[in-house]
Order: sequence, then C-alpha cells, then structure tokens
Amino acid sequence: MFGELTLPAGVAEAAAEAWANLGRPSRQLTGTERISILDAARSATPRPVWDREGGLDALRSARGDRAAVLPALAAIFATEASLIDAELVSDMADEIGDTTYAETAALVAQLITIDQFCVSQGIDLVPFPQAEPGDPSGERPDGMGDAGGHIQMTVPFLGPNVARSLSLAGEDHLRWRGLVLSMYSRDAFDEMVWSDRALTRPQVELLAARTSSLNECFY
Amino acid sequence: MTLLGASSAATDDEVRLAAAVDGGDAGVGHGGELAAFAEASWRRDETLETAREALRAGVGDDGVTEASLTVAIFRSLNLGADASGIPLDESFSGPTRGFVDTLGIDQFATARNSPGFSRT
Repeated sequence: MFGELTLPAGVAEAAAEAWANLGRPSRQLTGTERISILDAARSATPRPVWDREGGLDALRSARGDRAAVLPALAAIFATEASLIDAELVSDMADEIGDTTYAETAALVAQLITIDQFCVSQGIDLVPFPQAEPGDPSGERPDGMGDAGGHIQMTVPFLGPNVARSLSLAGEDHLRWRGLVLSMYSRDAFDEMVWSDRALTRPQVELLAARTSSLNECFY
Repeated sequence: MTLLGASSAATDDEVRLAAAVDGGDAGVGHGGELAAFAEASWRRDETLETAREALRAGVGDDGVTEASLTVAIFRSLNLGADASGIPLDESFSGPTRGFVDTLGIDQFATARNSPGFSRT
C-alpha cells in the first residue's frame, strides 16, 4: 500500500484492514454512501480560520437530503472539525441519526490518517476500493452511554477519552483505533521516554501539539 | 501540549510550550524543522518538500516517516475529539491549567467542550 517504505510494526496491517473495509456496507452506511463520503473528504482541503469556505452553510443547505448531507458533513470533518458544536451534532442526530453521524466521522478519520501520511511522505494517494453491494445492518453498538460529549460512547471506560470518542461507530472506530495504536501509542502511551523510535517522545509530542494547534483542537 | 511538557521534563529538555501554538523552535532536538514540517503538512503546499528534506537532513528517513505518522494520526485524533465533543480528561486538566491562559488555547472554540476552560 505504501510502496517500499519501512514502517513501524503493525502500521501496514492496520492501514490495509481499514482500506479493505472502506467500500463495504457497515452498520449504518451502504458501500456507495461510504465512497461518496470518502470522495468529499478527500476533495476538501484544510483551511485556516480566516479562509474557510462556508462548509456549515453547505451543510445547512443540504438538510433534508441524506445523499447531500453525508458528503457535506464529511467535508466539515476533514477540514473544519473545530466548528462542530453540540447544536450541530444534535441537528445531525435528528437528520441522519447519531450512529450514522459517528460512523461518518470514523470513516473520515481513517481516510485522513492514511491520506495525510501519504501527503506528508510525498507519495501517491491510494485509490479507493470499489463500493460493494449490500444493506447496512442497522445495529447500534452495545454499551453506549453519556460520557459528557456530543454523542454517546463506551461507558464505563478506562483510558483517555479520545480512545472512546467515536465508539458509537462500532467497527469503524475499532479500525481507526488500530491506526492510532500502530502509528502513535504502540502500548507505550504512559511512558514519557521512548527510546526505540526514530524520534524522541518530546519530538513526537511537539508534532502532535503543533498539528492540534493548527486544527484549533483544544483537547 | 500536556504530554509535550511531561515528556520534556522526563528527558530533561528545556521546552518552550508556546512553540506549539506560535511555531518556531520548541527547544527539543530539530524542533524548528519538526514544527515547519507539521505546518507544511497541514497546509499541503509547495513548502512541504523543502520542509521534508530539511527534516530528513536532521532526523533521517525513519525520522521523517515517524513524523509523517504522527502528523497524520493527530489530524484524525483532532477530528475524533471535535466531532464527539469529548471533554479534557481529568488527568490532563491540572497540568493544562498551568499554561492554558498563557498560550491562549482557551480561545479555541473547541475549549467549550471542556467545562471550565473556555474563554469564548
């Protein structure tokens, strides 16, 4: 998937697992809907606050048309996620359902992880798989409850909140978590000294903090 | 941010946390190149290749790969946090209060997701 690059253990496997499922029907989305979401997310480009395209207006205009709402929401996830607030999420829950909202977010999260890696490395983006036929199962994940966020998530939970943030997305959340574990924490989240990597923990955390600041993500 | 401070303390690096917000060298090894790479990766513009090669000169091929993995996964972690509206964890709240005013990150709209932190 990434050519001849030498990657840390587990990264290629997690990416392949995520990619293989992008076009498959899930709990809430058809394969065709998933590819339309991915197309919209890939087409959108992150913009600074002073140069944003009005993604929220596009989303409001799409209300009442699921086929238009999903890509408009995907574009916001990909570029302007810091604009999301409780009111918007409540509106989306009424419009498409909270589980579909979460699944869309987790799907975009997987895509932008892999796309951004390719961009940063200077290698070609990976073509999307074909949309596969079939109906969503419609099943809601078990064990969801209020954890103080905009949507339900796994309760109770041990670990940082971000690790359960999109658990309402079921398998898509788990595949995204697989990327997080292999690309960042690698079972060493609580260790402040990383001696077995090409970068030190402070170097990694500087990249993390600078990226989060550019995205205006307080968390 | 909290983990940048904590890990720097553990490795005896004199870190400048403000660099995470305003850019520049944070005081960790190749900090200027790392910050420039994160910024160029985020912008996805013509400066990225130059930033990547400057970083490569300092940390090597594997270091660039590690940096690319980190920038990529944090773009999506930011999405997960913002889309779900999760509050800051209790364990991070204390250390965060020590620098939140100084750095101005309490002005981010997403600070509203963490009760007691937002200035907006």
